[in-house]
Amino acid sequence: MIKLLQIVWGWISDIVFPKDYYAWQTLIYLGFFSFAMSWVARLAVGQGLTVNVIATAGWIFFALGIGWLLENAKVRLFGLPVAPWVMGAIVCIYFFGLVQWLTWANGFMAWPLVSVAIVAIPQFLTWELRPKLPAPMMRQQLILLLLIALLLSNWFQFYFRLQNWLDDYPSLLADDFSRSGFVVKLPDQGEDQARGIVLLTRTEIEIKADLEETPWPHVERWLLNMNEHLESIEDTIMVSLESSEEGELWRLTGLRRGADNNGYALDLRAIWSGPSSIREGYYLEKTCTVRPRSPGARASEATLDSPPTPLAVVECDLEIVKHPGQPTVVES
Amino acid sequence: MPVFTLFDQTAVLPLKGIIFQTVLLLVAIVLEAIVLRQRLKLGFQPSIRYAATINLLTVVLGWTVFLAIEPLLSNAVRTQIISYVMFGNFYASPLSGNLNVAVVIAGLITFFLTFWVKVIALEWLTWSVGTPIVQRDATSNVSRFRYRRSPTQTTSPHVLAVLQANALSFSAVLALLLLRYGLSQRL
Repeated sequence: MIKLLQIVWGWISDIVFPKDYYAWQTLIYLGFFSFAMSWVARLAVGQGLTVNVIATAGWIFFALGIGWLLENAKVRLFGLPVAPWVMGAIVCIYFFGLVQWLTWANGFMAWPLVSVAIVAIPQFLTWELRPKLPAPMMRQQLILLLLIALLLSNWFQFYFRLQNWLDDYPSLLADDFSRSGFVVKLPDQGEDQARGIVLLTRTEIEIKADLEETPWPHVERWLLNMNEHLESIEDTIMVSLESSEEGELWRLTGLRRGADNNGYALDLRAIWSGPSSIREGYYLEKTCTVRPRSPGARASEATLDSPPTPLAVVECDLEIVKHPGQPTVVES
Repeated sequence: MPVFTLFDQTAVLPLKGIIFQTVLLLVAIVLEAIVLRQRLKLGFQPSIRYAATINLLTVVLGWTVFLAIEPLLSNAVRTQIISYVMFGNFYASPLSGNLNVAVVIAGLITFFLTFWVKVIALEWLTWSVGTPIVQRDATSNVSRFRYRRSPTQTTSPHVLAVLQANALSFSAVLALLLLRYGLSQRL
């Protein structure tokens, strides 16, 4: 047991206390020391140039130390040395954290290029820091490496472009991505993002506010001008939803049908005419019924008004049905 | 860390695109390397390296052009591209009748543009690596394209080699894409 502890302590002390000052540990310690000093400076004088300079020195020591460690240990992934990529990542985290007007997305796009620059710069300098041309074989390898880095950078940019598209058109997330040749959808994301469902639910609330408990003649007048009413409802909802680009791709229509008890059935439809896995598009449908309150219920309330006007009752299905294609009858 | 909140909202990843592009690139590089090796009497390793370089270059240029012009497109075209990327098909709109023609024309233009880029890139690459396959002579370089049919000048072998290589790799990639499309429609 004691023997084992001694061996472990030997390993640890080998790593923590290097034999020589010329070692990667020195740089990492310098990095930590600079970080600590920058915190001291920050507590003492607040923000300022001094603090930033000390912190920057810390990041540089840290990046070089980690790079030295990985290069020493010959850490490789698919035969490629890892050290420049990690150093590039540290440089990008530092730089894009410091500069406020650049986003992290820019940082990701810059990362492969910074890493290639870290590989390339030593090849273009002699030990006396004079510029030189690398050997022909090294030139070929640097060109290939640069192109691979550009491709990676483009892929990152494509990823961020996809997220922009989904920000502009959040309803896409409720669709089926299985036939895409480019993207896979992560599970449990964005089913509730379909603006059509929100549109129909909010329309139901608006219609109930307009019609519930109102005199029946008012309801019939409202229903005659239903499409104008629905248009104004759609406008107010779309303004409040802030669904940037895709507002114009949704259209709200209603179909009025006669129903029993002198009432009407309303098929409210949110029609999507934008990108979709169904080539012809699709529409969402929610059915509401509007009818005058039945005499029995009226009698029980025992209103004193003689001749009583029937009041309207609005009931909507909870279910929202998705149909492929465009509805055959749009106008009521 | 703000770096991690960046990915909280991630709903789709372009993994399929990355995998397909890698596979298609490997196929194209191998096929073009075979053609370059036979036609230009190059060694095994140089031909692979040259083919990899010129194909990576065209792919990078293609991405750059796409990412640069995508924000400038009108919403009608942009939503069609979004539909194709996300769902694998265009959607019905006043534009959709012309889109198939547009895709074919874009494919033809891409073929000739990549051919031209690859010829230039191969010349520059061989100069910069120090094993030129053509003499570095700017005037003949221009005139070779402009007066290709003049009887006194013959097309240099590397242009023919790149043309054949490009045709072969485009055919193979097209076949693979059609195969993938057929499989995806079947499922």
